[in-house]
Order: sequence, then C-alpha cells, then structure tokens
Amino acid sequence: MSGERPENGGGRPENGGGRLLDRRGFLKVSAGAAGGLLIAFEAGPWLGAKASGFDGRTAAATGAASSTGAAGHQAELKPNPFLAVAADGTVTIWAKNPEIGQGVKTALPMIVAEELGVDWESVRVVQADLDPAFGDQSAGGSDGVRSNWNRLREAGAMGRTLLVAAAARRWGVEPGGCAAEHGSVRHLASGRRLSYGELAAAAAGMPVPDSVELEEPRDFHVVGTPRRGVDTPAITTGSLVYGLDVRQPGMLFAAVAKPPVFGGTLARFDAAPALAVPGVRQVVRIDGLPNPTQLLPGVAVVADSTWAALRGREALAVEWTAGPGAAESTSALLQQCEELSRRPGKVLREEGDAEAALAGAAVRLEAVYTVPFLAHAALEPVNCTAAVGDGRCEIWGPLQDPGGARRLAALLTGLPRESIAVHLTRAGGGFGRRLMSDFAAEAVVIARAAGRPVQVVWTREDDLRHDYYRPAGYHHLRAGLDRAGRLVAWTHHLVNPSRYEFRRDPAPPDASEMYADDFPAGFVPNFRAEHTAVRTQIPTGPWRATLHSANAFAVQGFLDEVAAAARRDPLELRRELLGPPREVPYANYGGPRFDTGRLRAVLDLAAARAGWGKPLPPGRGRGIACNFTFGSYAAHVAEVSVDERGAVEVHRLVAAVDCGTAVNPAGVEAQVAGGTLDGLNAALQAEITVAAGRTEQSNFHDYLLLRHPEAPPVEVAIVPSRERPTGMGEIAVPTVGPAVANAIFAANGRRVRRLPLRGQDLRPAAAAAARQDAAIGNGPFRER
Amino acid sequence: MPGRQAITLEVNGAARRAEVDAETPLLWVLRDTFGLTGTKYGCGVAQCGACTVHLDGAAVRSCVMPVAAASGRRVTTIEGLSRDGRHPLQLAWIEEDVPQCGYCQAGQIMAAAALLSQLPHPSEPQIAEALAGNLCRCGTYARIRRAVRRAAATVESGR
Repeated sequence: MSGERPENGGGRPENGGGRLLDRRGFLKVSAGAAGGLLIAFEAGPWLGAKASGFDGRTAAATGAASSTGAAGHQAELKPNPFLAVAADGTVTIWAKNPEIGQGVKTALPMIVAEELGVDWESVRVVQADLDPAFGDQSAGGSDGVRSNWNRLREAGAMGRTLLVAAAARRWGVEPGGCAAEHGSVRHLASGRRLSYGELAAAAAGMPVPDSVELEEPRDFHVVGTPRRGVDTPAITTGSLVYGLDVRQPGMLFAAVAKPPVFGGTLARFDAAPALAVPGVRQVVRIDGLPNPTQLLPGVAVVADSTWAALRGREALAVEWTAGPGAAESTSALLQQCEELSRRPGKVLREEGDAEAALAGAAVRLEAVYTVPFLAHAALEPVNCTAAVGDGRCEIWGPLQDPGGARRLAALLTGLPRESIAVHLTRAGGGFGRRLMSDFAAEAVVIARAAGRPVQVVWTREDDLRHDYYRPAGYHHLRAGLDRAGRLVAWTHHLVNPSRYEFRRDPAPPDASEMYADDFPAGFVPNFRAEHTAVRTQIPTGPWRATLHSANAFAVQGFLDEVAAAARRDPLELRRELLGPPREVPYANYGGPRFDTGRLRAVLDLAAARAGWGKPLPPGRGRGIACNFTFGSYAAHVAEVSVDERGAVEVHRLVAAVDCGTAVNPAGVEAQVAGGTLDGLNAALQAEITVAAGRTEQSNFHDYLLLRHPEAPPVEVAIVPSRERPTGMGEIAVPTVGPAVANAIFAANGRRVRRLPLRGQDLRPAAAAAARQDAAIGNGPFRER
Repeated sequence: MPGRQAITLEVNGAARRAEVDAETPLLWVLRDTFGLTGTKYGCGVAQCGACTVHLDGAAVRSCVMPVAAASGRRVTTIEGLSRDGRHPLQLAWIEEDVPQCGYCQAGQIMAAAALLSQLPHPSEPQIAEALAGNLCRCGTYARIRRAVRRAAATVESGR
C-alpha cells in the first residue's frame, strides 16, 4: 500500500488497466460442452487448470472453466474472470490484488457483489493468482479500489445482465420488467422469481451484451456498508496461510548471507563449516543483479529446516568487499544535504518572484525540517517460496508486485512468462517493502540450484538491515508575510536521496521525492519548489504514503510557524489560503485535480470533532494538519501535553478523511486508525541510522514500534460521499506528525522541526524565546 | 555442534516426538517439524510476541525457548486453543473484526487467553500491560482490547 503507480518493480503493469467493456477480448465467449459460458485460457501448464485463466485469444478446455470444483458437469455462469455463478447457487468472486492488510480482498469483491445483485453473505471469495486476465495486480499507490472501481462494477453488472436476460427469455417477458435482487431475478408484474443458480446455465448461453447498466449509488446494498474481513475467521484459528506458511512437498529452507555494507560485494566464502551443520544440504552462491532493488549478491545456506539454515548461515565463513559504502553514515549524509541546500536545486515549480517578495516582506521566516530513514518492518519478515525445473517456475509468496516477481523470474531463468506461475499468499503487512521482488528473485535462484522447492526466510535482522528505506530528508523552507500578515512568498528546497535514482528508474530523481503541486503551491503568489538529489549507497524505496510522509511534516509544520508569526489561528490560516471551494489542477500522482472545498471540509470536520478552539488546561495543546494525496483528503487534530521534563503525552488523535465512496466503511476506519498510529510511531520514535555503511538497528528492541500501552485512542470521521472512491491505505499517515508537532508548540512553545521526537529536548520554551522563535524561524535568514 | 536428540512433548493434546537439535527453538519445531504454522515468527528474540504459545497454560515466547525446555510438558498453540475455533476470544476477535494483516493476531489471542485464565475480568490498563509484549504493526490495538473485554464479558455471562 505504498508507492506511486510507476513503483511496480520498475516496469509497467502486466496488462493495461482499461475498462472492462473496452477490452473486446474480454467479451469473446463461447458455449462449451458443459453448457457453461466459457472464456478463453492462457495455455500455461498451471494456468489452464485455474479459474481465472483468460487472455481473450482462444476458447479452450471446457471443464477447466469451473473454479468451483464442479469441473465439467455443472453448468456455470462465468462471464469474466472476476465471478462465477454455479448451478447450486454458489457465487464465487475472485479477489484480484494482493492482500497485505489493506483490506482489498474484501473491498474489491464487495464491488462485484454489489452490481451482481447478490447478498454479501452468500459470496465465496477466492484469492486470484497472477494472471493477465485481471489486469494490473499490484498493491501500491493506494489504487486498488480506485483503479478497479469501474471494471469491477462492470464485471458484476455483466453477470447480472446475463442472469436477468435468461430469466426474461424463460418467462417470455422484457428484461426491463425484471429486477435482480438477493441472488435472484424477479418479474415485477407477476412476482415470479428464479434464483441465480437456476438461471446460471441459461445465462451462460445468452449473448453477451454490448453495454451494461450500472446501479444508482442510492441503491447500493453492499458498497457503503461495513463488512468484516473475509479472512478474519481463518486468522483467528491460525489456519490462514501467509507466505512463511507455504509448505510444498520436498521443500527446503534457505537463509542468505548478504553484504553487511551497502553496495558491498562477495569476495570469497568457505561452505564447509556450514555444510557441517546437521540438516544443511547445500550452499549456493548468489550473483546479484546490477540493479540493487532486484537482487543482492549473497551466499545461501539451504537446509531441511529454518533453524538448520540459520545455524548454517552463522557457521558460514564469508569475506566481503565493502566498497565505497563503508564510509557512509546518516550524520555525514545530513551534513552533505545541508551543504547542497545552499546551492540551487532543480526548480520543480515557480510562480512570481519569491526572492523579491522575500526581500520586501514585512516578516520573513526560515526553518529547516529534517526526517530520518524509516524501515518498513512488516511483522511477517520478508520471505518467498519457489520451485524451478522441467521448463517451469512456480512462486508462492507475500508479494505486492507479483508481476514484477514474474519479470525477475523470467530474467533469471530465461523462461517465458507463460511458464512462470505466481501464487499470492496473504502478506503480514507490506507498507511498500514488498513492491520490490528481490526476495522472490532470491528464492528462484536458490530453488533452481537446489532442484527442489525452497522457502527463503529473512530474519528480522535481515529485514531491518537490508530494507529499502523511506528516504531521509533535509527541507529548507522560507516564507514572507506582508504587513497585513498575508503569506506572500514561500520557498521549499528538499535535499534527499532519490529512490528512483537508487533503483535506476528513467524518471527524474525528484519525481519520487517532491510533488510540485502539493499545497501550498498555487495558493501563494510568489512560490518556488526545488529538489536536489544526494547520492548514497543507502538503499531507498517506497514507504507507506511515499514522501508525503515527510513533506507534509515540513510543509504543515512551517505553515504553523507562518500562522504563529502572523498571529493567526492555524486552522483559519489554512482555510483562508485554500479559499472558496473549487477544483484546481494537480499534476502529480492522485490528480489531475484537487478540490479545495473537500480539503477544507476535512479540516473543519477534524476540528469540530476535536473541539478546536475550546480551552485546554495549561501545558496542553492542539495541533492541526491537512494533506491531499492519492486522490483523497485527510486532516488530523492532535491533543498533547508536555510536562516540565519534556515528556510528551498524546491524549487524543482525531482523523477526518474524504476518500469518496467508502466501499467498506469498516475497512476505511481500520486503515485510518492504523495509519494514524503508523504516522504517530514515525513521529515519536522510528528512525534508522547508518554508521560505517551499515544500519545500526537490528530488531524491535532498537527499531521501536508502538506497543499496547503507548497507543492512544484514535477517533475517525469519514466524510459521507458518493464521489468515486479514491486512495485509502496511506492517506492517514502524513498529517499525524505535523499535527503532533504543532500541538507541542501550542502546548509549550517548543517548535519541533526534526523527527522523531525521541531524544529531543521538548521542555517548555521560555516565553520570550518562544515568541522570537515564532517570529523569525529557527535560524539566521540566509541570502541566496 | 549439539547433536540431534529425541524429544517428546504434548502438543494440543497429542503426544508428539521430534528428533532435532535440542537447542532448536520450540517455534521452529512447531512450524517446520509438526507443520503447525499458526504460530508465527516475527523477531526471534522475544520482542514481538507473534510466536506466543502456552506452556502448561502459561504464555511463553516459543522463538527463544529451546525445544528441550518443553520436553515432557504441555504445549498449546493457536490451532489447539479450541476444538472448533469458538473460544470466546476467537469469537470476540471475529465479532470485533480485529485483524488487518492479521499476522500478529494468533500471538495476541494466545497472550490474551493466558491473561483471562489468570485474570478473568481485566481492566483496560491490565489488558494493555499484559499484551505490551505483543506488537501489532497495523495498529489494531484498540480493537484487540475491545475484543478481550468482549470475551471476558461473554465468559462472565456464561455466553
């Protein structure tokens, strides 16, 4: 649930994400011997036996069309890859995207069920494997629901249309006189009724319509109603299979020793001590790929149990070549960022004349905001299982970009993509880490060498030391106010490592780091946003909410400084800047437009719920922040207190979001509450540091996550909406940090410009110092 | 290098025998030898609680417990918490729809079950304290605590 669309392993989606009915191949159907409506298959060795196989080219074996286990002799309606209605009434809906905790295994099938006209309780949901018939199947960019809304509605509606047509023909009436409801079709005039099961075979023989009619949102009976996660019962009994729970006949386990220094390479190794460990079968050399996000070099120890593989890896004698990364540290990098910030960067957006406006401003502010590297630390450590042999490759794993995993497997094995099957397991969290498929590449290389299925297991230490971190960043901001206290100038220069550069993406380095159209761009007459990429061997990658998680902290914090300098209420200042409700262009990911009224509305909603403006006891304060991303709107109000020793307590967090139609409001609430705690953890304590080219943290004792007693209550308000659904899984993260930081300023006058808060002196600022701080920022004004 | 030895223990009511290195953590014996994958690996150093099982009824971190220490003792995993998946905590977890990714939840449930067996009516802070060793990266803490309270209430009212 992280990353813009181009995140997907550096390539394009497996198949276009076009609308269902635009894809003529999709509609190409033929009647099979079983009387079922058959669709064509891809001819891969596994794919033919699979429910969803379909590429629109050829009609193929009949029985295989049935996914309900009724192969061959049960008539079934399967008008597209997303749904099937069996003669016994069973309704199966395929969940196309990887489930990583963001709830798409429930929300996406809900959309199909809605238009199909069935009760949610009657639906059986099946996780789809990787298959071009489903279009793009990655979990990134918060676009699961957003990008599939139309096609899944059309898929469900197509099934409903065929079932209604079949009933109308049987009764000799017009389809317009029939209604689909609760898994049956009713003839309105006579009250006659036929169940979907009774109609399935006949519907399968009906001509496919050229177009389908979608439901009116006011008639929705599934979409917009809170629904339990489809896997919840199996999770509570421990029977649900995650990546690490995959078991294949004859499977072995592997642990991989990787270069301890970033950018390092393998010099030599002695396998003998590892092979002497009971249970160890084999030691495999891994030559990395040139792109470090695709496969790192290493030495794999293959054993008959996880423990033996780990023991064997410990015994292994390996020499590494450190390379230039050995001199790297996060403190040196920060210093380098500071130096680069004094030189002009690449200007991403400019309006008016910021320098002249700053020179002529009545009040000038300048501040530096910094954020650290962050690890993903999904609770299920990185892992993948693969089998390679007999001209085929099979992968099972918790993948956010199964298409990327298949591309890497094809590259490494030389096999055609049709010979590579990828099965999606539920993932114990993703947060962007599993958009890289380096671990799938490892599994493929080792499994090929082993000649048996192999599960690659990363320890927590592996996971934290060899992550692709959320880039740290150095934000230099300046603002100018006129005599009336109006914001007339704003400059923002971000210096940080670019994850696009790290993964050798052809896109400009800034594109992954700074989004030029982000607020307050377009709302300040003299404006400049610039970026400078700093080179480092420290690996970077997409992290939940991408760089919004950092940029919103800088922007929304500095805006609070502007409000303080102008002696304005922070909420009022934001409202005034946004101005009257209107749509403005937004060319970055999540656009093409953003609606100022909707951003104001979430600000107002969060403020109202939190009692913004109501008196608080001394030492307590409220802070507010807002952000637009992934097409959605989010605001937070934090209420905190800081004692004399500087200890911060977060008493309340109120979130308000507008994500258009909330397909599953229970899922939205969970994502917002959970995302809020994720943002809070990043604000309070999460930090990856590097010294001598190595990550200093290794496990949860030094890479901290919030625990039960530290997690404050989160109140979630969802704006009721019938707009089309927009991004959800990441939107709650960015505004938490600035809301908390701004609340600390309100509580005791301390301005927080660096995350995390842990270890900072947050004791109450002396009143005079606080006033000065607010008026001139945190440093001398620097002439360019 | 310690050699393999035969270790017998009771797992979910059945006698089980494993021939493994005696230092092998119970977690890997459960997962790799007995195929009980409901118990999860999260950190390997007793920091996250995903591997929580019951040893003679008490919650332990199976990732740091050598299997030899469980020899001759009674181990309960999430698979054996109830016969039919209808332990009051499991039902409460479903009712409150606790999980997001769900990976930590078996450990959370096992820790909560040990708590309720000791303290049938825990207060909110007691729940938070008892489960402080169980990390949830998705942030489902509020629902976990609601589910524990719900389970405690249903036990009290005789379901």
